[in-house]
Amino acid sequence: MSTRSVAFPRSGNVRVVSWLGATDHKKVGTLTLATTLALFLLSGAFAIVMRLELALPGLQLLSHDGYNQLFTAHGAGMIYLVFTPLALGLLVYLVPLQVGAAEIFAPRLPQLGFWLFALGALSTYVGYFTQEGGLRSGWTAFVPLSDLQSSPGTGTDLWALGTILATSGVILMAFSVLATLLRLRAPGMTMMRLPVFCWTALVTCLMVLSSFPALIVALTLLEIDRRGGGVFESAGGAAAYQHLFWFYGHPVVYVVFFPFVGAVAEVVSVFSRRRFFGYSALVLSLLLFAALSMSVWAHHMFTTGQVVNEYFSLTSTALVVPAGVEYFDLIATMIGGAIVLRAPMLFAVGFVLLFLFGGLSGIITASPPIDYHVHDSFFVVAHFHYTLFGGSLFGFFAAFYYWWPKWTGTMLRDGLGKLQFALLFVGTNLTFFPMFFLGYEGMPRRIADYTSADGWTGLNVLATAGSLVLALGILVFVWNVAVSLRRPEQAPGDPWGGHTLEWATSSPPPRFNFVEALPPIRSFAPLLDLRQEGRR
Amino acid sequence: MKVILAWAALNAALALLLTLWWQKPLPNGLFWAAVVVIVALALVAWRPHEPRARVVPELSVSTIVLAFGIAGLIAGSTFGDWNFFLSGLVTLVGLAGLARELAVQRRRR
Repeated sequence: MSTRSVAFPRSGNVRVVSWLGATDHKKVGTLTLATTLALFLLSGAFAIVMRLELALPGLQLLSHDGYNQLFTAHGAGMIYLVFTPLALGLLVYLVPLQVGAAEIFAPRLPQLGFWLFALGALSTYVGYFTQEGGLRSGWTAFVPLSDLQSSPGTGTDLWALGTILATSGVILMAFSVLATLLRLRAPGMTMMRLPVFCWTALVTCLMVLSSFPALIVALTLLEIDRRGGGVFESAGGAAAYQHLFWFYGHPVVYVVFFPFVGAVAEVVSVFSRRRFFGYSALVLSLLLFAALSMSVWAHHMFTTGQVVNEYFSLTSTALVVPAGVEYFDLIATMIGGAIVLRAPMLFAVGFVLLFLFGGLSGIITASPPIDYHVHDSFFVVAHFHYTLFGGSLFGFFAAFYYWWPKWTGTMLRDGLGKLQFALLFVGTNLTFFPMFFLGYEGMPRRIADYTSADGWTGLNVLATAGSLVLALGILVFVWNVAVSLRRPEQAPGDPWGGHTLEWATSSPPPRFNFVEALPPIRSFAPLLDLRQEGRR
Repeated sequence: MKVILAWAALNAALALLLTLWWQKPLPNGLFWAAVVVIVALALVAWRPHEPRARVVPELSVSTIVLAFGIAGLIAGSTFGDWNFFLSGLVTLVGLAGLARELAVQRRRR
């Protein structure tokens, strides 16, 4: 679909307003990424305090109640306010460029989405400054822990309503990205010529639109319940809330995974100097992966005794098939390639290695007998941190280092990027690998204290030391961004030899993305086609 | 769009398997509702559309006003009725601003 965009008259000249009020998808995407990264630093700082508390037996820094609020703020912040909007922010910026569109579909929708997300984030954090404090029952806000009796005060209300706002914002962004993919593609870009990243964007948006409303329903009912509605008071009320919550809560894991798989796929093919291997198989596996991940939500409820474990165990285990196809494609792309180990590629390889731990431990917990043993233990904490931190965050950094020249027209320092990678890779394993053993030995999650007789001190000290290495890695990242912004090194138009259309325009791209005519699109890698024909 | 329908079919197959396995209303209702949403998305995407010039606004302050209004209506209700009514007013101002922006946009098309 070709569209012609016409500039609309400016209604203000102030630079701040031109950013905050912008409908340009690149500015909205940048605002979203910047806000989520700031919240990432905040939620990460909460994690460091938690790890310091857990390093030794006894209470050193926090009370039990303070610890409860802190792990809730960390978990809820990372899921609702960091990784989900981070993934969507990336899509809002990049998808129109990759499909050769001048604009995103209905530009005010992602703009409204960003503001709802930002105000939602504000609401959730304001809750922690109320007299009774904020939510303290974990990011899941299970009833009855989050009902009025167990969590009195307005802090929990502000958290629930803020989360509804933030999630609504993400839904608006997803709708706009999906419509861009379906209706604003450049001439010649058929669905089977969409870049790999765009396919991951498509399944991500489908999952957001079909599963995220369940969270809005769950939290709305929770609010009605807290205002005396008695929604979850019946015998099956708690299980009903869990069904609603996990119908959102499992797909969200894939929403914050797929876009980074797409980014890693782009990075792996570009830095292997090869066309992505097995494109069609990847597309099919993505569709299957996304559908299966809609059907596994109640594996989080195995131990409730109120779900049919066989079905959810079967579908959860089946996830290994499409995941295996994706891994096979990523590795096959590297085999025989002329691999260039710059910072984006290192993070991509790190993603492949670390997500393997997360994925395989997920298959372990997909087995109900094992899940009964490790449920609500640090084993689960290790599992999902290997998927979210080892997977999504390494994928995000691969994307960040890869597309930074596109966003800013400058280069990040590669040496600092490699140092950051080394620190994060060591830190991730040092922090989260001991947690598998802690969980297996029975250390429950969400506790502020344990005794020395439990025998968990050594592994906890290791994990805390690892978290400090992680913090150092993140500081190197912040330093790299600061240095690169203060003393910019000009980036060439296409510094990596990219395969997709965003590299066919200037960096940063102009207001309507493309000034010159787009190159012919005959595959999912149009710029690689031109290069192979000797025309680029 | 065929791809969305294909994805809906995959979800429907998994939902059907769940229905056959476990006749519990809430989980089945959730899964089938998602399938309906996906089919609806496919139908919307399938709607024929003509290429047309898009008049894109560079700034939309009304959208921000609307966002503040909605946020106040939802989260602000915690602080009392006065906030609810004030936010309702802000929402109306935002909507009026958006209507004005769209009218200008339509004239320029």
